[in-house]
Amino acid sequence: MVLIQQIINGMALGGIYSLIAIGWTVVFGIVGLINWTHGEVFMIGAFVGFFMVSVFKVNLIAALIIAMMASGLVALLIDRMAYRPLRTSPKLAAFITALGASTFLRYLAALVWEPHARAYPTTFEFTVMHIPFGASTLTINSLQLFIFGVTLVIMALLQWFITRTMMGKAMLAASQDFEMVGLMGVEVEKLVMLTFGVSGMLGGAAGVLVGVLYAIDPMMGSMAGLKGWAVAVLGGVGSISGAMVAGLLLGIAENVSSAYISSGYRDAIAFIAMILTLIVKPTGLMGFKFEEKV
Amino acid sequence: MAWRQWLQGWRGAFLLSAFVLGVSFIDSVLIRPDYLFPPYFKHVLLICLIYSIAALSLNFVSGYIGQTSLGHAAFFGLGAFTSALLTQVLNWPFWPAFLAAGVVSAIVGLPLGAPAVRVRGPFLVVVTYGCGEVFKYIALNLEVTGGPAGLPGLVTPSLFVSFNDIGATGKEAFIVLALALALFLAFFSRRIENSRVGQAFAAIREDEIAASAMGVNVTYYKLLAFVLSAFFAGLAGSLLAHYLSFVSPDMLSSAESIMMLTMVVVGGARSIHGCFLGAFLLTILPEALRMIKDTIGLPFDPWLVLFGLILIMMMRVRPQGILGADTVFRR
Amino acid sequence: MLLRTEKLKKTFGGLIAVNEIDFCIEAGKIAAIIGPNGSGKTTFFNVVSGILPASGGKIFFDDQDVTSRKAHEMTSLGMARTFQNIRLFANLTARDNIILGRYSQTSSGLLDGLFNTPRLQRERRESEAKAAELLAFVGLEKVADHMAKNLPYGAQRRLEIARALASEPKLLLLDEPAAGMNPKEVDALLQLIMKLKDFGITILLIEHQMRLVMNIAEQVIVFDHGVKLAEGLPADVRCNPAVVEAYIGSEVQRFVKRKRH
Repeated sequence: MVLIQQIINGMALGGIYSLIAIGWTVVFGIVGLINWTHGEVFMIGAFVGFFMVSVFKVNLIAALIIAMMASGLVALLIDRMAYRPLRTSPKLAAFITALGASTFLRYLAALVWEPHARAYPTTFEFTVMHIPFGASTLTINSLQLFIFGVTLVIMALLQWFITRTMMGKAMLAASQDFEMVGLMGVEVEKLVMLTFGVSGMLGGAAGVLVGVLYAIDPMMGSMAGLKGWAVAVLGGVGSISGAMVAGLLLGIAENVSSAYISSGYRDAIAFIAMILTLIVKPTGLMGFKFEEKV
Repeated sequence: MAWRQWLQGWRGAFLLSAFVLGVSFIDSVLIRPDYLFPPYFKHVLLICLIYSIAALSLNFVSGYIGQTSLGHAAFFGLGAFTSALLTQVLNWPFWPAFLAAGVVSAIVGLPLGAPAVRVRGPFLVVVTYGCGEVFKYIALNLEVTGGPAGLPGLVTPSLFVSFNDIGATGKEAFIVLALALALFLAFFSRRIENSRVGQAFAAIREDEIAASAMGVNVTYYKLLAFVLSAFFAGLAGSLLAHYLSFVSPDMLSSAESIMMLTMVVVGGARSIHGCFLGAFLLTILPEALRMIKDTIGLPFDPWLVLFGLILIMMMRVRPQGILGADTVFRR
Repeated sequence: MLLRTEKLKKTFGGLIAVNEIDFCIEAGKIAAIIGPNGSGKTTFFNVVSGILPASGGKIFFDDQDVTSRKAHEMTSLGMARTFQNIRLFANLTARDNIILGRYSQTSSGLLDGLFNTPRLQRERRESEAKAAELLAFVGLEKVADHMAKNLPYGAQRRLEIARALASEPKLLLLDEPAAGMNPKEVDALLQLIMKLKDFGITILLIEHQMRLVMNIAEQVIVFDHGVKLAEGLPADVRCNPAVVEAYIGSEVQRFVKRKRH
């Protein structure tokens, strides 16, 4: 059953897309900004993880955590230095700044780290399991399981954070009504910082996982960032659960389609899905309505 | 700014023409075969003019109606590919293919503009970006468009004589054509600004709902802006293609779209002079930096890093662009 | 009847904002819609003026069925409006705002723009003249070239009215024109509206300021939760117990009644 195999193959990638997308969606939902630098934060996380594993010989999980911290910090810094001065300016100015920051970071990274792909050194053996299923066998790579597992853990932690902690709940509330949260006494700037921190951490985690699954290079941020945004739109901007679901869907869809249709168009699927969503149902799968009050 | 007043209208156009034509043709008047201005300079000048046309055309959408579009390279590249295919495959002569490039882009401008009617602000940015990318994928994957390598060997335009034979370097005719088109587009834009159409654009930019309450058919004007912008971008793309004698999917890339948008933004949205300034600045700077890098032997090309910084600084210091207006409505 | 609605309905998902409202206003009259916040008044305006599509029912303007018409078409038919939250063209001057208001009275197009035709020039002259007239009418001649966003609040409200008048409407919808105004400004507004009535313009306003409503309206309609609660002369409506209850609540009403005995 090739289809089921493709679905399984798509889950790991889908989980990664979900992580990136959630990072996008919280920033857009709470700060109202398209964080064009998210791809670069993702890339930085990937590189930090890479250096932790290859140079400092740290184990993968620890590298993941360190990378998440680092990318969360980078996201915070970007907000502080690039976005914060423009809080009151029109959105276009912030967007152009984001564009500039993204270009700056990406090509600085290319300068420093040279634009060729590197693979994470294999730190432990990944077994391949064959599971009989009906007439054929399914192949599951324990690497895929590992990645998917990590994704699940992170999302579970995020879910706990949002529902159980004060700040987390404030974040969730803010993604639905930012002004109201400010009026209720939550310190808005702290909340924004928290949002960027969380967004960065998720992006960085995704970066490490992509590095483990495929490879890293300084340009990886552009495609990842865009697909992340497409997934966020598909799930409904501002909706965390939407991003989760949509990410998995895209991962599976990409795998299924590259098996049945030409793989040259694989990357286009994300964009087509996004465009269709915005035209047909702009609120996405699970999003909120943006009704402008007349 | 007094000098800006002075440069308005005919004077500005005259000065620009004098400069361009001077650079292009002075060496024809002086001693030959030595060039006063090397072919490289003329090449850069031509590229500046072509991007001026691209920026001015983007100005309709991102300037006048205020809808940031990050997919403009799609129209540009579509024009390039259209005239390439028409001349290569169907053996059309250059001039009809050139016009057709504009028309085809304009027609495609309608469905691409349609999302802009329903979708606004940040969402539109991403939709236009997505559309641009989809176009690129199509160009990369179709047989007829030559895949990643594009289509080489395009025919050179001719007006009684082949463009290659006019002027000292063979670029002069292209420069004159580009200049003519750029000036026409500038004139056209200015006339639109001062007309009822420009008023409708301004109203839509400021407040769509209020605009519709005033009787402005927002959908019609948004589509009109897209169609106009696509038409001229298509012409510019065709011109570039036949100058370089090839097309490639890179002309459709998002990097190009971003570059065009920043030309408009840096130069000053809605400002005709600003579009020229942005195009010239963002074409000359990378070339100048590359020359510096080669002469002092830097191991890396600092342009894009610098570009990012410029954008960040610009938005902090002067978000309306260098020549952008604080007030908007012209009479 | 200049404007008539039949069982007009507007829903947003599960929420019924306007619930089968029958309404009519005769040409040349001044009517006011009052009611607690959230009762559907502005939504009613939005549907009638074509900005939002109706979910049910019909709208008749000048005996024409305009239910499916969009906002820009309604303006050409002779309906103009102002907005609760002031929607001026902020970065344009006061004068330009009014000139833009005259959009529906002009007709030059793309080609006129390109060739700077006599038609365009004539329309430009006419619009400027009309704008000057309207600026004087609302008392804003001195700030004609100030940007709309820099004008004081009262001036902005007057500018919005002037802009709406530029389209030479038969019916003018004013959404809370007196909001945030002090009594002196309200009186000036009152005078303005009376002058408009003298020009033959029909006026329908949403208002909370009772002073304005009682002094000027010939017909008062009370909305509550999307339904027409009462209708009639101002004095009658004011005493209507259902109306009082809707605004103040039944407890207070009972208290007031008890106190009087």
